[in-house]
Amino acid sequence: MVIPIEWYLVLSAFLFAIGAAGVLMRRNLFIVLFSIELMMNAVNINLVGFSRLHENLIGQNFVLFTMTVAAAEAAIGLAIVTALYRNRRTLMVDMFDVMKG
Amino acid sequence: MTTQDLIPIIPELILVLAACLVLVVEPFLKVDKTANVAIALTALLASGVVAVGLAGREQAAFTNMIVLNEYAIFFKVLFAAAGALTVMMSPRYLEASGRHMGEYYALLLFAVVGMDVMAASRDLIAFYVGLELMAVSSYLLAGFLRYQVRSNEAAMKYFLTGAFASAITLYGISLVYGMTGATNYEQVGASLLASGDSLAVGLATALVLVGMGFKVSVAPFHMWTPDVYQGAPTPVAAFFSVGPKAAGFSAMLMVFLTVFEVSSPTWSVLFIVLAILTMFVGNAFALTQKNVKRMLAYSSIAHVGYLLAGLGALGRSGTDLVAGESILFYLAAYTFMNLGAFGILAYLKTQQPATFKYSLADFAGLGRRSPWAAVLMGLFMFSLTGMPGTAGFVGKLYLFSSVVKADLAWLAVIAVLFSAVSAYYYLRVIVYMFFREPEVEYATKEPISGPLAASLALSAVGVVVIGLLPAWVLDAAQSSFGNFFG
Repeated sequence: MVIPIEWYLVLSAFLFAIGAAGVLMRRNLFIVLFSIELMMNAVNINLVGFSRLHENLIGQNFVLFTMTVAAAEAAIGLAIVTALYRNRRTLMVDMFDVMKG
Repeated sequence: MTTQDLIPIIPELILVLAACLVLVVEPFLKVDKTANVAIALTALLASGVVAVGLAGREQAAFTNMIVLNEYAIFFKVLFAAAGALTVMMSPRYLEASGRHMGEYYALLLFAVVGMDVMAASRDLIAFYVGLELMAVSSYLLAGFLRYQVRSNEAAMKYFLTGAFASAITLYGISLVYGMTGATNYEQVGASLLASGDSLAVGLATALVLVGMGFKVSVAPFHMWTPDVYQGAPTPVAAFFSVGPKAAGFSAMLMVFLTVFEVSSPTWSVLFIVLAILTMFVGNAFALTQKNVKRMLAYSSIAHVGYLLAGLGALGRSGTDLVAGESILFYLAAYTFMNLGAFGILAYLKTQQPATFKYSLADFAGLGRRSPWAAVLMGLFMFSLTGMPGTAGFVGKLYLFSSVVKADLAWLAVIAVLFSAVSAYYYLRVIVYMFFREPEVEYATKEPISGPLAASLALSAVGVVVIGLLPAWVLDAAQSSFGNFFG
């Protein structure tokens, strides 16, 4: 049985929504970083599914780029978290409110 | 790929090689980093000059992913200028902050490469990679003063909103690919036009719009902007307020005009609504700021609002491209005046690293203590307000009259009213500089000198020359925008 494209879309939409909700609602910086990864990977499922639907490789190609960028972003994100943790000793995002107005 | 494909990216190749060279040279330099500043500056100038030299060529490269045309060249030159002005204002500031390192210049060059790619891309994959190259370098630049809590927080806030925004944009792009099976702008645009407007196209448009809205700080997605500008090193904030914003607009113009041509009624209405909201938020919050750096952040949001009004007009007017040309002109004018204003802040910070907090009170009596800084700051404030004779006036004149031409006279009236409001907070800085006595008496240690002086002088010359002789920039904007779509 061929899995219909809708299944991919529904899965990806759910993962993306979970990721977006995580970014907006969770307080721990690490969970927020994971949630962003989840959003990017939801997009990857979309792209691969569409790639199969259209029977061309552009989507798969795109996924390679997205994964590379996601890896770079994760590295940068962790570097920023490390620098922040050394100065503040906390990872709760709502504690970072030195600047306001 | 053929060797011919490398010609359109020569300006970017120069920048990438120079950035790598900076990283190689860095370990051999002890305290004096002049060599790295020189490499970065030379590379930016060379890339700008080569870009001008390539003018007149029309070429598509890398299987139509990247193009070379007047539009791309206009932005390559603009970004090289913004990068060079930023590099020149950085050394003194970084020395005063105790973090003068070559990585800073390498990251700046990589960010400029990303911006160039965004403006030159004709493929959603290339656009996304350019966007991320710019963004990832920017996150690190925001957090460059890593022993300062404010800089850390700025980097973290920029990173979280930026990564969130690019994930949203990416989801929209994946839907576009799903509907058309292609990522090339022209192919996608033609395919969407053939299939007609639908709910899915509207959703993809909205997702890309929201993602890019975060990047160029459109209200209500602007919350990160003041915090990031305040916390980031001042030259970096100067760069953020012009570079990534202009790059965002260069890509938005292309993507919305070619890819989402079919949904132009939808997005032009969205842009008009967001323009009014952004102008309101930017101006209203700028009024209440006592901190000049935050005030400039909100003012940059207000300027994005004016530019969005132009984008809305472009969507309404269809074939009439005058709004696009005036957006390009406005971006060029805005680059010089905003870099200049932030440059003065950077200078004042180097004079009193401990006591200068960017607050309005710190500007009291500046006209007497440091006349040159005060006069230049006054010029940039006049230009940001839109006083006749400055670049800001001509930019606003073209932009608002193009909005009127698109039968949106009421929107132009709103924009003019908001820029009248903006006069209050810009001119307040001038009042403090020239008509208030400082509470604590202190003198600036040294006059403006070295590369910083050159950067400020060039910004001031840019503001005045564009203000008095706008024709040549307008010609460049017209030929770069008109040729591509005409």
